[in-house]
Amino acid sequence: MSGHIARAGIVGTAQSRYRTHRPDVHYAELVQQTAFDVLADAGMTIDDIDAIVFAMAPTDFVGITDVDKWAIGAIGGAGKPFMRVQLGGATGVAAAQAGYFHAASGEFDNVLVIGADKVAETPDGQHVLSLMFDPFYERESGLNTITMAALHAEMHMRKYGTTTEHLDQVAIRAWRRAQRNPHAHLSGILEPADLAVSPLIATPLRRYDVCPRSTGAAGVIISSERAIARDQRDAAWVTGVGAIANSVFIGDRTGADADLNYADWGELRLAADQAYAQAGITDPASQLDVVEIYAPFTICEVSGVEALGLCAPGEGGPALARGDFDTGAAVEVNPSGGTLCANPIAVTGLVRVCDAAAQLLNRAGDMQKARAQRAVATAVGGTFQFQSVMVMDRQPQED
Amino acid sequence: MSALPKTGPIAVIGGSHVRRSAGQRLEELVYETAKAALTSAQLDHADLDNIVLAASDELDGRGITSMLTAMPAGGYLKDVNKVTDSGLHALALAAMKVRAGQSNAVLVLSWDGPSEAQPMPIARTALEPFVERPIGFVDPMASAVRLERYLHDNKLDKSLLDELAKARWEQAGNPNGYQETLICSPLREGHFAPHLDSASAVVLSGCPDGRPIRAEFLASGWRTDNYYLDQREMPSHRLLARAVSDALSKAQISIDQIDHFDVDDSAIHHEVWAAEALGLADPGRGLQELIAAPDRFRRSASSAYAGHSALSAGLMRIASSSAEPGATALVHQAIGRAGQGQIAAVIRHTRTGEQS
Repeated sequence: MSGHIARAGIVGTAQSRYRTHRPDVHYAELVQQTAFDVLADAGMTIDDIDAIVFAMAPTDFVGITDVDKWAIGAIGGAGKPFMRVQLGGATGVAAAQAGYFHAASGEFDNVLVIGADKVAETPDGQHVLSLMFDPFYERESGLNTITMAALHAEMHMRKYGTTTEHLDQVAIRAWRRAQRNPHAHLSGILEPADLAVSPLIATPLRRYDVCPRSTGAAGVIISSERAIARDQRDAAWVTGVGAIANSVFIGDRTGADADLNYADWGELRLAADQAYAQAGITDPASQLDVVEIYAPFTICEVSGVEALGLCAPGEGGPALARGDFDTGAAVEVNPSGGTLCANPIAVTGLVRVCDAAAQLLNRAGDMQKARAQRAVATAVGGTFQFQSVMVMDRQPQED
Repeated sequence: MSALPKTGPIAVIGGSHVRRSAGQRLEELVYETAKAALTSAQLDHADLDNIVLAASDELDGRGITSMLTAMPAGGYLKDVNKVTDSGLHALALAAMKVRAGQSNAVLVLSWDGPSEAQPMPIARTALEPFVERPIGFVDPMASAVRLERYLHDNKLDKSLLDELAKARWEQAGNPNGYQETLICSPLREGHFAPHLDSASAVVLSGCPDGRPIRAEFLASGWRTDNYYLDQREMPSHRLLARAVSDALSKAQISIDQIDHFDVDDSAIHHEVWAAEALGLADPGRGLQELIAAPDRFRRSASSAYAGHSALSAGLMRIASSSAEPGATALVHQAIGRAGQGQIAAVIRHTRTGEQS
């Protein structure tokens, strides 16, 4: 499908501020405010919306099964076509892709993709996350989302020589960039000495290598080419989408017989290859301006820039530590601070889409990269097994 | 993937429905269903580019059930997505992927395992915690409230519900299946179809490359109403009527061109309101008219009284349809508490062995 996909684009974005808790609003109210905000950003009312895709990952954190069905009235969606996407951490981009399919198929003109999460509603998020693993083998081994990332980090370090100093620089730079992000949950100035004494979570990951548990909401509006032309809207055009799934079993993703090696982020590379092929991207390092990677751990930003083709395998750590993808670089990676600075799991991928699209719409505020033309958003779910990638462009793809 | 944006019908080239056997793990059920669907479509794993699943994490007892089922469904290094609403919603998303030029061959798969779950405690956790959870306003009660209103507004005796339900059990060959136990007035246990552990799959293709086409997917329409009953549309069938209207409009056909109505009959009230929404019965007269003419729907797939799989029921009807070649079927499913959501898909069955 190289060089041509059906046209649709993002015409509005909105996010809440992210915090650990939001006791001032319940779930439906949290989504409602962002629905108002994204409609305002697009210059629409709810009557302009033809369909809704709801992004909601496991409901265990919130404690309300099918919580999306409660929220529908609060966002003015009652009576409209509505479906919920759930693909773990990959939900946000997978939902945005579903929204794109709604519009690009020609079935709907304006599609609201929205969701929210209150990850810290449960007193023990890691216990909930551990319940996603296979109950016979992996759950018993103590595997959870942090230890699985630690395994990935250990393997990457062993294969490529990536160091904890590289990881420290990823955290330091993410927090620094997040100071310009009004939505960020965490931001500030970190010093290497702070990191060195921070609690060890799972070797080699310390506290600042790990994302927070965040509460917040995000939404985008995706419109068909027909509607964008009719209403003369500015758009961040979707020019490529890709998704890849792999086995839940990490053991099947290591060793000589595995198609992909858990030391690398091969699934993300494959998903990006699909999206790049559609978008006509052959040299990501020179053709992209902004990349929002769903990197919930510092090591994921390292392996992520490699998987997305922004540097060679094994070069991610040194490149990020040098600031090769910081503000002012040819390709800026996570100018928002990324997932290390806010992780409302159900919509973290959608946040990546919001931040990337806002750059192309020139609505990124203090995070704005001048003359940004092309951006990428990614998301990851499960045991790093579900990958979703979306490429956006300032211009629609030529026929 | 080398698809192009597609307009018009999408080919249904395969399907399967598998009842869960004793001791069979969920992953094994999913694998068997996916394999059967691909075999029927004359495809192998390499031909597949997309998988769309529909499942409930809560009913499966997993945080993210697709983590464990994506691979048995054939998702290894493929594009996998999942919706939680119903199998027909997954089908709708799959069709939009094909129409957007993002897929040539997509497997849609959904499953239910109610025998391993405790649906009632899960239903309680689906209630918002401030008002409805303390009351315990779960689905049989919510449906009962709406049904009481319907009976009252139309001056109907609740014994008509029993009469229609008994007829349905008899039609299913199990007259003793009707149970009089009162759940929540006016609903009795016998007003609901029995649960079934099963999985269903359908294979869609935008470019069948000469493979036999079982049917054409024409369109679908879906709508979801407010959570709170007092804010929902009345009468109860109106939301379905809108979903059906959407589907027919997209398919560019009229209701008169539908030969089979495979409506949700998992509960008596669903089928009564479906009859009214589809114009097969006059408003407020659905109960009496279905009792007078029990075969009014001209079904092409088995009734839910042979076993009902809540999430995958619509997909099962498409996968196991016995419609005659050339016939057009409308497949309906109600979802959520008291039918909060309604979805309808329009399928045209092709002549046996018809090729693209």
